Amino acid sequence: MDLVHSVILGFQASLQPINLLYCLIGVTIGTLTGVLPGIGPTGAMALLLPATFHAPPLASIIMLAGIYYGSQYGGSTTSILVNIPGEPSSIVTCFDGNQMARQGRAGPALGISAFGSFIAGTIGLVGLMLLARPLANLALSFGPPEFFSLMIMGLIILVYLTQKSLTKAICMGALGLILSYVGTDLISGQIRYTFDIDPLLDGIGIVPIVMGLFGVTEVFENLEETVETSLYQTHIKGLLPSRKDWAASIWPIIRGTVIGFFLGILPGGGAVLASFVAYAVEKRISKHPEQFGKGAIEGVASPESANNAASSSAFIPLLSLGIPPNVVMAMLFAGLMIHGITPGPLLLQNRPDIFWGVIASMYVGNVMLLVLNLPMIGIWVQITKIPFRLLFPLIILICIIGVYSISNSTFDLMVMIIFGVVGYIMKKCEYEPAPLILAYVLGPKMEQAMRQSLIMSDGSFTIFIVRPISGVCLAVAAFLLITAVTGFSKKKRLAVLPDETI
Amino acid sequence: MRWLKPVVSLFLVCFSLLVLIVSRQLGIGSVQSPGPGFMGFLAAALLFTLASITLVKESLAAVKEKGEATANNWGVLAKILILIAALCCYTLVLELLGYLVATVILMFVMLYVFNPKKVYWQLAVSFVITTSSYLVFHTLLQVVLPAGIFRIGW
Amino acid sequence: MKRGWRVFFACWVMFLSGNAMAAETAYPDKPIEILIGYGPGGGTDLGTRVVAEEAKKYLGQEVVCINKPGGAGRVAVTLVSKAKPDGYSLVSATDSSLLLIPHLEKVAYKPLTDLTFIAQYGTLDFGLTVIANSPFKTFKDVIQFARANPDKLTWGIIGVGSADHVAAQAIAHRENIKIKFIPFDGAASSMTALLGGHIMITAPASSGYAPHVKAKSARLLAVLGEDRLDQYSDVPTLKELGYPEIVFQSWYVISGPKNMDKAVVKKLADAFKKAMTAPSFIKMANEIEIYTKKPLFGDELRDALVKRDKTMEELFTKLGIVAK
Repeated sequence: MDLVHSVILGFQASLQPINLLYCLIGVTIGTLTGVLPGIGPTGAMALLLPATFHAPPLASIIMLAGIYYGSQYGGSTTSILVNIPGEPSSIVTCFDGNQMARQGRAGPALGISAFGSFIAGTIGLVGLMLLARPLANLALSFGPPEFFSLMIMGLIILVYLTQKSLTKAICMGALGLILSYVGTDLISGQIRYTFDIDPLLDGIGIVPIVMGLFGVTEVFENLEETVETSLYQTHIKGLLPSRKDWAASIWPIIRGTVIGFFLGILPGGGAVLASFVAYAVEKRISKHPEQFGKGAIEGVASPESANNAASSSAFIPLLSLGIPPNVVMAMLFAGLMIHGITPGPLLLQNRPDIFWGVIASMYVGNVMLLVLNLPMIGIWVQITKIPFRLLFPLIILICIIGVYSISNSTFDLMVMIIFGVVGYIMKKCEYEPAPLILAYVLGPKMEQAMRQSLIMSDGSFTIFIVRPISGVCLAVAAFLLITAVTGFSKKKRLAVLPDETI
Repeated sequence: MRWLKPVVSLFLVCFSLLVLIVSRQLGIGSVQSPGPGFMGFLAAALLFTLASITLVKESLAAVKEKGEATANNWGVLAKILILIAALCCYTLVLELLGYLVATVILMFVMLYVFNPKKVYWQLAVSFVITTSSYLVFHTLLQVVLPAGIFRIGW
Repeated sequence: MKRGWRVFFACWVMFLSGNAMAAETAYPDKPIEILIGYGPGGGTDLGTRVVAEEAKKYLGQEVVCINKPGGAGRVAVTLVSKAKPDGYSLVSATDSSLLLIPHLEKVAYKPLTDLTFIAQYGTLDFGLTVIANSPFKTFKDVIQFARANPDKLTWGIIGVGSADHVAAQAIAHRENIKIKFIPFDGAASSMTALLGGHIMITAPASSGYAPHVKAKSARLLAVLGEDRLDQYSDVPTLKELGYPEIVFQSWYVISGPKNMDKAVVKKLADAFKKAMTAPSFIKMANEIEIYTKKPLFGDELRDALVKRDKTMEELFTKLGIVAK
């Protein structure tokens, strides 16, 4: 069988000492960048890219790839421990992950996150191997109208993210949309809402906003409550997930993997959207949706699996089509080009050693990550015991470095502080930040897709309904919206939307 | 603090109003051919509507709920304000003083404000944290940090 | 105790100062900073980093590259144009921010007078690309189609006012045809749309079309540069096809603030020139297809840019594109 032969070839290549070494370096750095809030895989890859010029091509790509999917493992650590997302794709993990930590269950949360990531990464790789071509073609069939409908579906999801008032969640969503339009309008070239502030030309930036709303706000909130003692007084109950945890998590992991895998192929979609959608789906089909936000392990298992699956499937457009679906893949693209390797349909033909070597190394990498992350759980859990008055300066410092490292701008730091203060006040008034972030991420792509589609259709809206994929997405969105608001059963409706709807 | 909620809602109302005006200036275009301000206008309109409703509701609730002055811990809130001020100052002087000097000061302020004892020990901790973060991030991870006019360590 | 603190502080400063205390008077005596006007991983970023890496040897000092993305290079250029002209603050950007955008928008600098141009380290070529099984076999077919079906030719452009947009508008103006422009946020998006059949033609830079043309899933109908490209020698230039005024190339340029000392500029230009002969640079430049055979430096570079700017201005006036 040709496939088996290729896979064996790939493993032979990836298990060579030098490739193993680069893989280890890559996933370790990746985990580190994932754990540290603000600092992401892009920065690390940018720094290491020139260093790979002198290294053999396969080893370089293995290392760079390892940084990417490694960061998806590490991102959940700070989310669970201190309610601060290490990566934007780990924001959703904060909701239930941190609650679990407060109940003394940080260990199981971290554990299920690691295991879920491993399972998702591995299944994602199988999918990558078997389904690369058909999925690549599926990705191509998404034109502007399809993207628009998908983004609309994504925005409706924010209904499921709220733990308090729906009205206020929509307000935050609207606010997120508005913030996302600050900067240069791609369609007309006009500069919008910047009030002549130069650093805003490219928009406000998601990392300062996330660090402010989730990091700084979190610090302020905790300072109000406890300073002398550590954050969580409860006794640490076990370091690994229990049988019950596994039973509850296995289906969410699988669902998360599927959702993440499909959303990861789409340009611009990726791990962030996948994690939000996975969370919302779990809440929607759960028999006890009121548990979400209070420490439901499904709320950790599913999104963490989704973001890892998405990072695996993001390789499909890159390797099969030669199109990088996001910034990180663009860097890998550059890395490949520098070594004279042209990603795309011919990669499989011309350089099967690279193609299969990378894929095999991803299996190896996932195993390495699991081995790396599990023992660390014991150490991480100890961090929750540090008195907060010592811990919070460290948290703030890491947020500062993370935000500054993006574009070396103290303006970004100011943005972070402003959002920290704003988030703090908003939370006191029961406005939650999650819908804002979701809208902020989806806003630009949605608007762009809408205007592109309307240009294509000369202003006619039927283009969104007539094209099959687009029509399906819109139908699903409508369905989700209607059933959430009216609900088939009163109990379910009240659980999905909390009491105070307006 | 019972007026906090209505004030925030009022802020949202005003903010959305501002965005509505700016969006109109940018050009809303038509539904068939949306201009640069179109989506912003829609989002702001939505925000305006919902925030106004919330404003009314919360104002009524705040008026009804008179009397009970909950003991707000002004002490902690004052400290948080100091922290915010310290962070703002840090942002302004970071590139002037450089990472090392500015961060040591910030660390000390953060530690001291919430624990006004053991000054020397806290100073030492500030130095240690700043230096180790410098070594880890600047030297090891090659993250670019501002050198400042003193150029200590660069 | 007070004395103890003073000693401690002094030791701390010395510990960290390292060799920053060595004093030299010749340029350069401290690390040079280059602001890169784009994010990591792109052509600008890679090209600058490799040049900087190699130029280190000839300058004797670290050349530190810092990404300062924003406004297609505008933020970085604005910052450096206001910096001290001591030779330690440089900017690396494409001529998007130097030539094109100033004609379309209000920018905080006058590119040709507020900057000193030091070195050109690469060129970016654009190519008219269609999907492999497209009915368009030559560029003439495209024009014929557009003439017969006004407003039906969907042409993907990357940002309004970008080089490929202006080129397309120039063609439309010349041939008196109506093209439907669909804006995209980058070559990746526009190529995806092209391969998926959602648009008919687009003109990305080499990093956009190269993988697909090599894989034969897309075809080049024409290139927008001065001469035919070595890698695609059977693809004509627009110039050859009869549009001599539509020549677009993007140049990668390193500049500094105005009024830089001539000797400093020469030293930098020489260092960069030598850096560009290093095998690692040539390899990288060839792989990402930004290699230029005759790079320009210093005053020569300035004159060439001034000339191109004039041509650009004339073209814009003809097309009726005015600065906002």
